[in-house]
Amino acid sequence: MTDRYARTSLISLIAAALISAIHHVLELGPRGVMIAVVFIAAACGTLLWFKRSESRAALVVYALLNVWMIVGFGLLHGFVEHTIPLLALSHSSTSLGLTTLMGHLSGVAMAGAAVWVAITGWRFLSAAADARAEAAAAIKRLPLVPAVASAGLLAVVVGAHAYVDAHSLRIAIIAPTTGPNAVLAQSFIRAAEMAKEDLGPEAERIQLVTVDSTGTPERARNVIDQMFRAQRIDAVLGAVSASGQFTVPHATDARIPHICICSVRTIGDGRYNFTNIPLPEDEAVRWVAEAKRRGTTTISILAQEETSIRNHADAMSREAMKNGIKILFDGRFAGDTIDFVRLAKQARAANADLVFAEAFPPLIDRLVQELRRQGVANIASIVTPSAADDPRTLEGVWYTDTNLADATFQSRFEARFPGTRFAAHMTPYAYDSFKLLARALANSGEPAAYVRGITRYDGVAGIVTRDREGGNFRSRPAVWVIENGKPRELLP
Amino acid sequence: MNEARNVRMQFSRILLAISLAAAAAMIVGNVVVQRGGPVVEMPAAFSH
Repeated sequence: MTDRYARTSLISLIAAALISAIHHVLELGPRGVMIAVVFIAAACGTLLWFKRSESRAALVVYALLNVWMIVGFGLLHGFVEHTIPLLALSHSSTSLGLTTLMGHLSGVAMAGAAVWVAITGWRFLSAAADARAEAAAAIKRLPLVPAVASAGLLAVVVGAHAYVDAHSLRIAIIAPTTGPNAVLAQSFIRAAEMAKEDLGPEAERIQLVTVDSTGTPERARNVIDQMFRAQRIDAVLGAVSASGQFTVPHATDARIPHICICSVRTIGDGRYNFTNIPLPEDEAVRWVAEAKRRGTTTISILAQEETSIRNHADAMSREAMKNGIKILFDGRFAGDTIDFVRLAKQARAANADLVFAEAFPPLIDRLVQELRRQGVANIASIVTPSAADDPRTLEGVWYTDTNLADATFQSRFEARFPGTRFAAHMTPYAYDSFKLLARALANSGEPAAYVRGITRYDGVAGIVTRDREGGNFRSRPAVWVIENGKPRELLP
Repeated sequence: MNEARNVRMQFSRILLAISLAAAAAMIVGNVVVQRGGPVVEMPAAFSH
């Protein structure tokens, strides 16, 4: 009996090591094979050691190998990092690329195999621990076939991986796809998918690698580092400046083009890294022009303390003063502010022609509601109302956002992806930038040089320009208004 | 005889204890590593 327990325990451990190795080849590249090499050799070696010496130490090492497989690979990696996310994804509208799906499914298989390892390992160890001499004598011959078959299967997997790797071009899409703004990040990924489809045969060889940058900056840096270590990436499309800054050194090292749909000017170095969305001063110029058109001479500012919002508010404030508009009140607040009564009262008391309010949802919703309660009628903003949790609470608020020059773009997107909320701010730039990167890869020369050569294009967000040496693609935003509970482009 | 048997019985308990301790250490270690960074949420999708 003990012989059979020993054999099934060893076979389950070999199978689990094989599945883990395949999973890690998909996740980390060929070096994932090391898991199978280490585990299979250690498991066979330890059992052989036990058979020959009846040693307690051998059983302890064998038990620890089992624990490592069950807890480390099965529970913490297979279950927590793949099974749970896969279940969560199956209940969301998140798009799932083939690579991501394969990664999750092999992770689930790893968790399943670990359960088998736990059962067989327990049976063998409980039978052998207190009767070592009998157990060691009972073990006849260790099964060699599974170990050899695993080596063969792994060679095939690594070969197939290398073949696919050599024949595809990878564009990494880095976006916070699972956090509080997953719905909006989805719009970003869908834009890339739509651009790939619209390019047709031109983008046939291009594979999208989606990287979820949700979580702490530390975690975002880790997943980005891991992605660059695991596979060859040919170009990067990023959604957020905070993760864009972690991508910059990798893009420079690998000499690949990286376009960040973010307005932090310094991310664009004009060599390998570029930004493509209006800079704060582009928003400010358009915003102040509209404020003047509406006869505004005085403004109150209420803005969240956050890098991008601070940049918008500061640029707007400078541009307004340059144009003779007075700032009567300037209130900044933290991202965890709950009560806006005091700030709204102060803004009301300043009695300016217009209140500038900018914050991320859900703060923007609450802030505007409170301003309305205090009797403020004229409210304007930059970008964030389009992301409001409930746009109906922002009825009548005007703001600057992307100029949707291609009037059919939004309807094409919504017809293609019903159920995905169209984020006007990022989607058009993500679409155009993906096309730019895909063409750069299809081009015979160096992809980054192709992007460096583009100083003007006419895309779905209108005319986009760039200084020959600059790292920022610039464009002119449009004026939008929330009307009947929906954003509507008012003036290009 | 009984004493020897007791000593032998003890080893399965020791093995179980070592295994559980190793499992607990892995879980705790993993939690520490995951939570190691500054607990600041990444700016949302619209944060540029």
